[in-house]
Amino acid sequence: MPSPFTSYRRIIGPSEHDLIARIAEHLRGRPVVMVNSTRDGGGVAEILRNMVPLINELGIPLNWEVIEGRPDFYAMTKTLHNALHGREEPLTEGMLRAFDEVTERNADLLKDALDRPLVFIHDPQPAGLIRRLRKEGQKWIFRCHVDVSSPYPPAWEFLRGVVESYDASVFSHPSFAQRMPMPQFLVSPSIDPLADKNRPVSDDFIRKTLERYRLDPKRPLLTQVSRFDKLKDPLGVIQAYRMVKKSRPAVQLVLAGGAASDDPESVHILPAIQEAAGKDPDIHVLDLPPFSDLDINALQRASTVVLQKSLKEGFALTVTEALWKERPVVAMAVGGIPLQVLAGKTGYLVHSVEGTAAAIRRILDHPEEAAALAKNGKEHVRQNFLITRHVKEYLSLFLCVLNPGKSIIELGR
Amino acid sequence: MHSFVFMTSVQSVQLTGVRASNLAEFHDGLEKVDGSSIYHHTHRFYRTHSYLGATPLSDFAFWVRENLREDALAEGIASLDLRDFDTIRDLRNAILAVLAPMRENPSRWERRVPPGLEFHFSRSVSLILPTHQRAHNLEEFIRAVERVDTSCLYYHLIEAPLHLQETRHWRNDFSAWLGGSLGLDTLAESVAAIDPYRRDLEGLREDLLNVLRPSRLRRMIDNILARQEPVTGVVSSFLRRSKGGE
Repeated sequence: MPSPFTSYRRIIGPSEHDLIARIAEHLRGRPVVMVNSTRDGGGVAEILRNMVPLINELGIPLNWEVIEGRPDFYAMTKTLHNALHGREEPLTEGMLRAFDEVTERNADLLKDALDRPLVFIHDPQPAGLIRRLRKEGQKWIFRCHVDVSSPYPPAWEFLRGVVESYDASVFSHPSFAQRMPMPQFLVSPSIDPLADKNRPVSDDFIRKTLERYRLDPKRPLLTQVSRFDKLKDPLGVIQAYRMVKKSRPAVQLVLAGGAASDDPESVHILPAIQEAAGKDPDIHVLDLPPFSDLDINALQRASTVVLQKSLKEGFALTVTEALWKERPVVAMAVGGIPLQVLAGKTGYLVHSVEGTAAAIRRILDHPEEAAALAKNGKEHVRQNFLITRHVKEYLSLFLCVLNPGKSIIELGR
Repeated sequence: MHSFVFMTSVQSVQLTGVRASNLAEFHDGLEKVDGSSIYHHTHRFYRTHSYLGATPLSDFAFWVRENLREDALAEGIASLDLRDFDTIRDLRNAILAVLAPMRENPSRWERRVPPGLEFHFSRSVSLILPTHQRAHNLEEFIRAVERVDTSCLYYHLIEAPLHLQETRHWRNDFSAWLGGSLGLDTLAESVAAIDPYRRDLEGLREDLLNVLRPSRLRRMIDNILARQEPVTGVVSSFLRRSKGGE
């Protein structure tokens, strides 16, 4: 159940709360529609689930639509996703046909729903709808959550062809910007501090959760929470854990993940992780069902170290979640992670398995230093990566798109 | 007399697509991006990271130090006193002037950072909007300064004068109103003399109130003396000394 906007006042302070409401006044009554490819699984759906009610409560009629896919379409978009991340995976003619057919089918299904002044498309899967559904006077915004800093060129050329007629695009990191004709904006994703995944939970609940997963609350716990995906490098996490385990035998490792409905690859990765874990009783691979948010919350809060060993990332909201819970974080310097983990200020930024192991050892040996960084990390998230800031930046973005070409937009005096 | 409306601003960050991987490209980028990009990169840390207790540093200086490992050059950029520049154009020229001598050393001028560590030029679009706070006199003004969000102070003391490139007699909006509308020229000059970059934004509020509050006391004293109410002894001498202090 989403929390009302007023509930955030005590977290962000009255000034920021009032400021967001004031910005919203300038968009009141202007209908907006957001479109993505799944209602559950992954960070985008999670953000939308919490954000859509908030923006509606601020007086802006915002609908959330989801496209309907099929297996060959999701296989194509997963290939595209990997290729945008830089993997040399060509898009075949069959794949392109599946993309076009599913786009056409969804254009038929959504033609009335997308007849709104502002259309906000999340990620490449629904991006092609603009070709069929754009109407005079509408503004279309493309929100790219993928790390496209060094894409496989044919994949980027394909996507560019699809999105270049948008009025604006939005990326999560400056390095993702590409040469395109429309204005490109920087907006970081966010977490909801009042959602089940992040709200405070009792010590008793944490203890019971650990018991349920057969984890020892008295021993150090290393945790990576991520969908099972090669790019999250779960095997690298296991390697780093083993390096630490040699000299700190008490450590336990949790790899908590699951599958998203738009990610066909994830089911193949899990057996590889289980094989790598072998019979080590201190490696716990938890294949969590959707909506395990409270369990993830408890596992993160119980962790001595939270890891994010990703090889590529859009942003890594799991890092944001851990920082918000004041946990020491060791994360790779990829994608949006360096925006969150400021080396030596809010956490430990690493570049390799060896570096990951060394940072874990440092945290185990210097808990006071780790606690000080974790405290900074929480404040860093409060200032920059909560859903309220995200709402504020989206509303500002809408106003920029409605006032194109201006560097200064005056909203009354 | 005009009332003072406390404004605030919200920044929407735009990516320019201009990037630099060595000093030569960095110099070119600095020359070609628009003023809102120079503003964004020289003020972003100050506005958003003061809670980390870090010394405010421009993105430019940070990148040159952390990624190019040119410490002396970074120091040169970081040591530019933002208060010395009335316009973004002047500030841009000063940064370029710091970089220029490095052209004489081609190996360092052309040396590239590793992939992933490039500088990405962004720019800010400012959305400016009023808050609920207004002041019709000094008393209300001080009360508002005590309670407005720090983003308001940032807007009136830094952004409006610099980013909007309004060079004028008074250095900032507060001085202009205190001097122009209330006729408090001495106070206006004191407020204009505050260095808004010296501390973080809460520190700036403190500096401002340290200038404003004594002035309120002095005005109260002036009012009492003007009414010629009977005061004697210690109170009388205190009031006269205070009056003399003005």
